[in-house]
Amino acid sequence: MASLRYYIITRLLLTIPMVLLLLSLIFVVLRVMPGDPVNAILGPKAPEEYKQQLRAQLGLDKPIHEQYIDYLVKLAQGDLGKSLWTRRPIAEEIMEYFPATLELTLSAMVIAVLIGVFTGAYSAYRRNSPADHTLRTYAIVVYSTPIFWLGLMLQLLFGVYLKWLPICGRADPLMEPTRITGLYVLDSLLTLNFPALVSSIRHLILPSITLGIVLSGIFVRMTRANMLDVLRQDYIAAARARGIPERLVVYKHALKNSLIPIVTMMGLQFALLLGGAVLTETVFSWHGMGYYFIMRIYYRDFPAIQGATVFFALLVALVSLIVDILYVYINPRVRY
Amino acid sequence: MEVERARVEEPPVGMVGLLLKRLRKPAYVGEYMVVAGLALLSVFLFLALFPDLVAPYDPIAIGLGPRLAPPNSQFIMGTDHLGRDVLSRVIWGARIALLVSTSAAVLSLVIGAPLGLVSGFLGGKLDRVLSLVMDSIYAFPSLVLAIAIAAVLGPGIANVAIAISVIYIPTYFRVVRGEVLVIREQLYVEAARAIGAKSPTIMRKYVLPNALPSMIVVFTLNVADAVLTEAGLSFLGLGIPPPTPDWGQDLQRGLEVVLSGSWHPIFFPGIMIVLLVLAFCLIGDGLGEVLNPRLREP
Amino acid sequence: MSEKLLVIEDLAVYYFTRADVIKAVDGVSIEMNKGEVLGLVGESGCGKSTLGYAIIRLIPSPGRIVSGRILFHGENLVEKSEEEMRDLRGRRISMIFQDPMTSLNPVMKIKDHIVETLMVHGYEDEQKALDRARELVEMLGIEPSRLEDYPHQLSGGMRQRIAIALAIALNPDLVIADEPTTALDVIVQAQILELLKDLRKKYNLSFVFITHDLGVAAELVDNVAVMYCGKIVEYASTDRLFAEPLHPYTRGLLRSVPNVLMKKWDLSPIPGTLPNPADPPPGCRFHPRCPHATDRCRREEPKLMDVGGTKVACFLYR
Repeated sequence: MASLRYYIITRLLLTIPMVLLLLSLIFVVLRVMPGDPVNAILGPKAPEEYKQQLRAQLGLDKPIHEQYIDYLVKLAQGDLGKSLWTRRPIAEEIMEYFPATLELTLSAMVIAVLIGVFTGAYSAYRRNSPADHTLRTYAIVVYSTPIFWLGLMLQLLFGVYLKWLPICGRADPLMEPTRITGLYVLDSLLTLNFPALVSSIRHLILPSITLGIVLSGIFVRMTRANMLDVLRQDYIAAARARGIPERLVVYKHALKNSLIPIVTMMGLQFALLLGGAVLTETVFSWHGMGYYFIMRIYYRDFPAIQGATVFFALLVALVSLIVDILYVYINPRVRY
Repeated sequence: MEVERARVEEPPVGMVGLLLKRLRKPAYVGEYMVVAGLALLSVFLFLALFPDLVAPYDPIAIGLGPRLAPPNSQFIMGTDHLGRDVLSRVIWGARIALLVSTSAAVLSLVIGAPLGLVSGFLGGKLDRVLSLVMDSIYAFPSLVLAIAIAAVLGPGIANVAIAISVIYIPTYFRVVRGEVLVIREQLYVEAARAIGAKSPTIMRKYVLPNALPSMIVVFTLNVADAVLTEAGLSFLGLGIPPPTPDWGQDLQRGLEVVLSGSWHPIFFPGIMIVLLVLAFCLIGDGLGEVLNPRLREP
Repeated sequence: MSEKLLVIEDLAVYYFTRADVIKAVDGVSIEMNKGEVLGLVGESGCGKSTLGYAIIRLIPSPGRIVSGRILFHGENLVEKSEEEMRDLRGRRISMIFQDPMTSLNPVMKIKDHIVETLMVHGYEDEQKALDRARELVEMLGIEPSRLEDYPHQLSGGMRQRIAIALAIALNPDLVIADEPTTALDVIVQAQILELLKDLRKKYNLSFVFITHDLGVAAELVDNVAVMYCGKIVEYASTDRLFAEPLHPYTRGLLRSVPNVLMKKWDLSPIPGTLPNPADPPPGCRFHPRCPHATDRCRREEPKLMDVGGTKVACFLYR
């Protein structure tokens, strides 16, 4: 397994230029942003000397290349700077907001995979049946649905008309569990706080279903395509010729093989999932990274925007690395 | 020599003509999808080109009726929070949606494809750097990128189109570059070189016709995605500024309207987005199937 | 001859594509006794594999058995339900595939293949199934430790041995071997043939042996049915067929294969190509390629007739 370690290290090194590139891109782009952040904080009518003072304090008076180098040096030390809006360290803020996004994306991914993989496999197995046509239609319609619209419609139906579920936030006020990991469901379980558990699960349902459904379309399509490919293989015919029941042929022999590309796909869809999370969090006032990102854009809090962007880039790189390792692990044909 | 000459003179073109012929009598699921998608799209094109013929009211006129009136005989889709006619806004919205999404996709095509061509043909350092840049953009969450760029550029039709176009450039770059790498090795380009064809000629006559089928598919699917992205940006308040009728922007108001329980100002703009995206997805997926026999469904 | 192991009567299998109906097997009759090895010989596309798949009722879509009977121990397999067939498959009728590289599931260990097959067909104890798996592979000349391997870790020859182990694991009455040696290199091919011969002797196994290679057939096979374009054109014992091939197609086949049984080294391919099975020529399907074709061959279709112990479908012997 020493070679696996070597592989991981190589892979990590390869992500550095990518992150660096994105970071530089964002840095430059944000510097040309119209609207002076100092004006945004102090108001345009503030006296010029206060503005100068704040500019110096934020390092905005230096030439852009010096700002860039400063930023890189600090970043290497894990320092993302301070927010212009809250004056708190951005790294700290991200750690506060990120667990919410993690909770949302994980549960959405589980929903998407559960819906997508099983129905996709079934769709392929019953190719050209009414069920297959229905599922294919579902996949393409769901893919065409704007996530925020689906969120609004679900809010209307389950929150406003039926009043079954809450439509914003992560838990009822004063019901938040004691913070351990920041994942409310997990924290409630860890502290055996059942009212908080119920509250946080109820709040999680609509956002994660919204995100999960939209994502599931892609999983249905991909699983179906993979399954069709696998079901054509000789070893499937061979399994049938040994009298293996069809249920096992499809859900064990075929699905196991189709899952390998699906894992890779999950990694590729992660970027899409993050984008979807931004919209979902906005609709449901879910205080995660997407919400943070959008709010700080409204406030022109550009160190925070930059910090969030860098964090997104790192996250994507990390996930693709994890997926690659997982791929090695689940595919017996690849050994490093 | 005869054979090779023949190959050089007849690179695989005529794909489009062949396609049109096939679509007159659809046989595969994919062909039905293309036909259905085109039909749906033509409705939207009509709405976008002649909204004033269809829309009963001025889409930006405030206080035409009571606020948030449910659908009735006067306002078929009801009115929004400013008393504007939802139907008229939804019809005019098709224009913005189509305009922004197609210009974004065209823009990325115009930038991405030539870059892919040059990068693939020349190879070397330039290719490596460009590929790295493109891969980085590609890997990054596209909506987040579009949000960041849109935030920098500020609201407006052109700005939104530019913000969206950035996220698709890598797609064209990859498709074209991949095609170039394949074609570069193939016999008929060798032969074209042998008879003295210059690189630009080779690109024009051999690479583009070959890359064309996949580019058509990619283009259609990008437009579909661009419609969604535009709506998303406008929903976040980073897209088309009011009062221009735009579906995403109308839905932004929906956030405030939800609690009042009015479904119609939310439902109708959304369903328009779904249908327009669906039209492009049907065309794109269907074409993919038609052009790639391996994907074909009986 | 009270009860035959396998009797196929007038079987027809067609593939229904959107544009055409491909008559892959078109009115084929065959009889097999227990312990017999029957060779199905012909060029690729002649319908021999489809016939093999038909016996085990695994014709790929859009193919269908259109008419005829397949009597296995007197029971008509065509009428059996899918569940009844599934129970027969692997237990009483099994199959060996052409390419051992693709016929084993790449994400399953060898032992899981064998154990699963045994458990599906009545083994209740996993340990017993594992013991049987060990015994099986050892018998086929493979270290039991290889049971822990994945298919890609084995050589082609070893994989084909595993495929054979899977086919005979439950002592079936009939094994359908679809070109089991074609994908292997020559030396391994010979080893696998030897192995099949051994197993046949030891267990009195019956095989339907599908091959395009008359030389391979000659080594193992008792009777040969030569197929051409969905029909059997000649059906005889191996000895008779090689000693005195009657149908012009069979003669052509024998001439086109370098073969030690032939008296002269006279290698000449059959002119022309297989006709389109969706639109076979009228009359005798071989007539466009036949040196002896007459007007009658172009009009009328010859039936299989007994000519001194050989059944042949050709007007030359009328």
